[in-house]
Amino acid sequence: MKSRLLAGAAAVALALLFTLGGVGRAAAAPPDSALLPLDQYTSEKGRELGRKYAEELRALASGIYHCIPWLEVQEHSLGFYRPKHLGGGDSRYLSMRAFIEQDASPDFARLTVANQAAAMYARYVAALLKRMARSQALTADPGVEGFTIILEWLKQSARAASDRPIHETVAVFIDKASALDFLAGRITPRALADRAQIRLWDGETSLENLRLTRLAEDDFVSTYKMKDYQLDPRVTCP
Amino acid sequence: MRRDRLHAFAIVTAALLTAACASSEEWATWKEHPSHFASGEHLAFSLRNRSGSTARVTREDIALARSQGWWGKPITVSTEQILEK
Repeated sequence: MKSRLLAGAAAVALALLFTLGGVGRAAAAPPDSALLPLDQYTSEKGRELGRKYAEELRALASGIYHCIPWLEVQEHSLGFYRPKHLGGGDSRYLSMRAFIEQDASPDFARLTVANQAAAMYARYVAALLKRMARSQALTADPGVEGFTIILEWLKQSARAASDRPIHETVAVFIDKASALDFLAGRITPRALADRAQIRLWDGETSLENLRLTRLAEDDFVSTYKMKDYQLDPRVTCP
Repeated sequence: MRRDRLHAFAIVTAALLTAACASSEEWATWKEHPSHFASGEHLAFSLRNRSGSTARVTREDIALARSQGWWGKPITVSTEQILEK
């Protein structure tokens, strides 16, 4: 009995040792796993864009990783995907999918799913679009036809501990002309939202396309400082 | 009979108006106090408590806390339904 307990304790201690050791050894750079691997592109056009702008994609992933640490860019989600709803042709949009980590909030939970999505749009889309369009070479490339930003967050609802978590998801598709007009200040955030295609899901259930009737001003991303967060000294956040 | 219908209509109208007002108020709350939807604080909190003292939290700590706090595959739309590789 005693030896069993000791063996169990040793196993826990070893696991802790490996875990803590892992913290110290972890590299400062985000893993490349955010990028869509070149061999997974289904067209040469997409693959060529992925190859050509690999460094820009890494810089984008790294900027989000360090400067917006509550956002988790999903594995293989950063790349030149083709939005399915565009139908024929091989229109490539610079795309990313990110999970938003946020504390449970009764105020947020009381919003309808559409209003939650509108709030997330207001908070993150312009900030991420600016980062995605930072490379002039990339935005000038005729092969890049737009931007897709997919945001998801944990649905706040009463559920049993054994239940699987449910995510709410909003996907925003912005053609390049509209994105560049917005970034150059030629159109307002309101006009950008009107031109964007916005789709919404509750778990796996597709809801109606979202038309933003209200658009809050939200500078959270540029002003919020996560308490006690220590930015890697080699990184500068805009 | 007609009075019953009017009664039901009044109840439905009142409910819709109440819902609309609540929605506007909730929206205003979000607009005016966006920072109280603090992001990532709970991750830092759990790390601080793990060590028993206030500590600086690095990005690697957050990644570790997130991986350890994962509690199952979420129900969500797949990327394949939205985008093609």
